[in-house]
Amino acid sequence: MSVRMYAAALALTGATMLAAMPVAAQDWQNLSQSRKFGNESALKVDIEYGAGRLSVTPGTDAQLYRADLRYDAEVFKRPKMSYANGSLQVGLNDGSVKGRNMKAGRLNLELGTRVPLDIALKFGAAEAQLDLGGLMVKRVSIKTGASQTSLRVSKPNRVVCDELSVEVGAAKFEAVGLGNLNLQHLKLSGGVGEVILDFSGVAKQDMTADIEMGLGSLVLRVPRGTGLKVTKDGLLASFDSQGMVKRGDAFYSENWKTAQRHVTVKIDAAFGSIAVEWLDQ
Amino acid sequence: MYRFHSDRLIRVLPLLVAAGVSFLTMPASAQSVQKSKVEILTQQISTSRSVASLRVELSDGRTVDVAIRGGQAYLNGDVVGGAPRGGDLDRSFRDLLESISDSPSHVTPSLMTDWSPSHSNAAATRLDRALEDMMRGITPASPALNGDGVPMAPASPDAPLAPDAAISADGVPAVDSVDRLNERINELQSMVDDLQEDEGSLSVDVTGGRNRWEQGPFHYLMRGLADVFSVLVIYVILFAIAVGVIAFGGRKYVEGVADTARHMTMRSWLVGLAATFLVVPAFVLGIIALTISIVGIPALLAWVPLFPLAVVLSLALGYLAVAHAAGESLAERRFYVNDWFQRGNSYYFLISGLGILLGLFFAASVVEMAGPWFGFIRGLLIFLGVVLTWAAFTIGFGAVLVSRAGTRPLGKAPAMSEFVDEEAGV
Repeated sequence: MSVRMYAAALALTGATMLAAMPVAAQDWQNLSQSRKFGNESALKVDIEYGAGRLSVTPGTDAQLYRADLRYDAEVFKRPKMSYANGSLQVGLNDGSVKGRNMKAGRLNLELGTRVPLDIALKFGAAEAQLDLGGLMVKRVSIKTGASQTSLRVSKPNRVVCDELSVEVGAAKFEAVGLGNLNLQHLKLSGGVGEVILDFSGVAKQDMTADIEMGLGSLVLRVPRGTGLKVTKDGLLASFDSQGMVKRGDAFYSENWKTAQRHVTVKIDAAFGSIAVEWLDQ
Repeated sequence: MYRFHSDRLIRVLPLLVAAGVSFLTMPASAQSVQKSKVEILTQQISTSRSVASLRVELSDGRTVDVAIRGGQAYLNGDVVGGAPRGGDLDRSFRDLLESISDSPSHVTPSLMTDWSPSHSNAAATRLDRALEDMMRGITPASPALNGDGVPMAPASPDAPLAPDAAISADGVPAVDSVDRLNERINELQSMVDDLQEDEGSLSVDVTGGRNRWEQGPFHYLMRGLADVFSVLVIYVILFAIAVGVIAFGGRKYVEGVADTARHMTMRSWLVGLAATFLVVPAFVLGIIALTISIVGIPALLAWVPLFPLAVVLSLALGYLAVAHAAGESLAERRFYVNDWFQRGNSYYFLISGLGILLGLFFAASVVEMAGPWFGFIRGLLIFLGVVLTWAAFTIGFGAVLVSRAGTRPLGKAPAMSEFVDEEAGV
């Protein structure tokens, strides 16, 4: 690792020298694949995307998926885009993007709305826009490094989502409409960055959340009609608990006993700030 | 009567047989039409500067692979003719692929059927026909169906064609059947090749092939130790290079550059920064100038390899000189007179100077052992280390240029011997 750090400094010097050189031409390649829905009972989606813009959106009833990938063929020699036995694998993960302009790279994935989905996303230095509204999402796993990720659930999920697991490194992660996801359990592990969790939407059941934060800010946006319980275990993390009452080790919203839907959040944070914002829904 | 009936029967028999054959083939044709309702299961489009390809898989398992690459048009892996890059067929096919990409899936069949290359040649005609046949459910490689809907056994390519088979029910010349069979064989061969390629391909392990310990509770500790070790290895290598330079007569050059870097730091940095920007243009301009001058062309043989080599050596010398200067500066702050006499040498300066330059990386590695919670501090240390190293290279490079590789050091305090000589002269 340190060799790479040291190499980075050398590369910085070299990059200064090369700054006056014309940028090498990149061989941008488009790869598009779609598949018709054929009464599949489930679809497992594995996405590994190194750099560029990532978009996941709901597709149509007639399709199982549609993937449009634009990538630099000079860097990524072997893009992955295959489907077999209810498992879709899409991604780029075998190239070095150092010194390349990856902003023009993109992966747009549309997922069919009639098949239960098990989605696993791994992406690095990417900007990701994920909309899981109106799908049949059973499970979601998101692992991301240095990136900006926006997860939206614009329409209610058609099935119960067992778990949403999120691991973010140095990143900004925003999840909006988690109530629509019909989620049972949220697991979030954050390193350094800003995390916003918005629980708005048409929640049909109670939700639990385990959140581990390193250094950064965590904002919980909760609809006023939802009962919220927060248990915080942290060393130097501040907690803005407006609209909540402390009983024992936990903070409760004033409507905890009367609310029809409950969100129970357990936070383990080292440094940073935690805040609760109430939404008028 | 009997003879009459017999004669008529003999005359009518071929007609009956022909009618029977026609009757039997009619359902097959009808079934072909029925089969034309097969749907597109998957479609894959790939486009780049050099390749444009379309692969379509139907719900009945058949596939068609059309590609234009390297100036050739391919149908199911076989070359069907030329298709130069930017030519009519190439552009027309790319337009089709773009249309398919931009359209919903259900529009694809009509786009493929309606497509016709603007200027037809043999290759264009074959591709056009292949796509249209496929959309009719009759690919060039599709097996014929008998009356029971069972695929008929393919005839041997060498078998003579029956006269009745000259024209098939759908109007396609039956003489193509051999070609179709060959194409089918080639298609199957390409499928086998694809499968073999898939089997041979290695999927990338995103864990990077980590060992078990790397995923255990001592993950960060072990990684930190590995990083500390790698920093130490870099330190030893750099020091060994420096010792080699000094031991083989490079001391005065290292010290000359170091003195320049110490006493004219800002000037060295500015010169180094300008030089790093100008080094590549200078290299290119040198090549152009030597080439234009004609007589300088032989000098290119020396210019092309020696210029980059000189830049690399200058960077290395500059970095070591900056380490030397840093060590010397530290020593001046710490040592008393006796220490200075005992340890005031280039080796000691380099030991401590390289330690200063690599210290931030070392600290980052130590912090990494503490776990993920100090990632921010570690990142900060790495960032500072990178900046410091870049500054060292830039200042060193500039100092090498300013001092002419240490032969004309600037800012150096006069040596005691110079005073002695002057006094002796007086």
